[in-house]
Amino acid sequence: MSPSENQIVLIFVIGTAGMLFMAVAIILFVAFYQKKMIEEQLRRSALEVDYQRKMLQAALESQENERQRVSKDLHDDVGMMLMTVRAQVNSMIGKEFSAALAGDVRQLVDDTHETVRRISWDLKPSTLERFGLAQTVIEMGSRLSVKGSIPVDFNEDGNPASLDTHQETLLFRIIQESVSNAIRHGAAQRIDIRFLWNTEGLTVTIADDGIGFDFPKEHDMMKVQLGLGLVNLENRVALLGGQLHFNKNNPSGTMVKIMIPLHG
Amino acid sequence: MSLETAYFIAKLSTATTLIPFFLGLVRFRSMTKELKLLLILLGVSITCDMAALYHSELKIGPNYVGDAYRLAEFILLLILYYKAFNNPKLFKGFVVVAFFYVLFLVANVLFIQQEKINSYTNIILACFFIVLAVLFFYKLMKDLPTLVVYQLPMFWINVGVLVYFAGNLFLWIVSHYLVTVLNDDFKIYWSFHNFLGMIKNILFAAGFYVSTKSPMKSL
Repeated sequence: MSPSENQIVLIFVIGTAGMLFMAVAIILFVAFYQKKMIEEQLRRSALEVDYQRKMLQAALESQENERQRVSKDLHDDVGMMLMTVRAQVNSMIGKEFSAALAGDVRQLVDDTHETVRRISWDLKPSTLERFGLAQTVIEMGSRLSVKGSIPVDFNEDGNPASLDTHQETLLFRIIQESVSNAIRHGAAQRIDIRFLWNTEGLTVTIADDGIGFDFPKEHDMMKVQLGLGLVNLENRVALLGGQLHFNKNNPSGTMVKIMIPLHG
Repeated sequence: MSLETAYFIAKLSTATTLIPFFLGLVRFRSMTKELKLLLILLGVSITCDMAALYHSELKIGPNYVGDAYRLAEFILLLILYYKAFNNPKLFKGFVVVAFFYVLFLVANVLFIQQEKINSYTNIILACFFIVLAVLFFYKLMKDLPTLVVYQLPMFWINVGVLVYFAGNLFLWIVSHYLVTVLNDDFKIYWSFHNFLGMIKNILFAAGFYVSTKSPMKSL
């Protein structure tokens, strides 16, 4: 039985209405969804730009802080010591030679020399080039232990691979910054640094027993809340192509975990 | 519906073709290749519409005029979409599709539907361009070339193509049966087809209009 005209008309009407509805739905979807997608893309770009700006700001601020620290050390320590030496030498002019006074002057010159060495080490540890990263971290720990009575333990597991000078310097700065954060912000009484070498790379953990901090869930919010110091850390870890994680340490404190891949 | 009303709607549809055509002529020098192709298609459309309206005076079968237009429409729109997709990998595929379409069109005119309305070729044409229009929207979503999609001339052209072919697809599917089996005079359906043609022309005109406003030359 062949279909009647009414049936054909019905097929035509329903089919055409369906096709037009589909076409309009596609057009509306494209028109609205495309705009939303671009807005989302722009929002992400803005966040990225903001993050880049923060990284640059952190780098500049870090450089400025370092300059201020060196300036303060030179002025307060070396400057004052040299002034004292000058005063001692002045007091010796026109007087008879006194072995005790000369001994004092020599002691002051030795102290000044030691201070200059410390400032120089802080700027660029000579140990790093001569004995490598692990030894430099041990030296940093012993300096801290002597200066602030904060024990710093160091452990190294696995087969250490060779890192180039640039990588070692960056990694040392990351560790130095993390240790400094633990002491200054976390009120740490003890710090454990651990190097774990495996075939994929190096995992560095810096754990302290301080007061720790609450970890925001959103990664971007974390950057905002923890400020430029963290951005600096992230910046350096990114330069090494690594990953940076913050965890709560058990029973208290913070654990910073840095994973650096080994290339080649 | 009277024959006069149907003719009036047909003439009105032809008249609306003049809107994008003249808009295109005004901006011809600064137009993209896609829009120039569309302008040529509009010129062919006006010529074929006029020929179809006065076919008895010109002593040409109206179906031959329609077939000539569909062939030109297929080739020009195919090149337009090839340029809009901007993907050289599509070249071979488009050439193969064009070859088989032309082959089928000739076979349909000579052996299958012959003197009757050549709806089979139109159905293939509609299906093919509906798919291309949807794929072009997908490309728009993927590439996100601009914040405001309405600023793209090709968006409006694509909307015109999609609405026109989606609206006409079922008309062409049922037309052969309506005319040859049920002997329908087809005036209402023909008018509906012309109405969709008017919408398409207005959307094409919007494409030409935004091309004068948009800073983007491509797409």
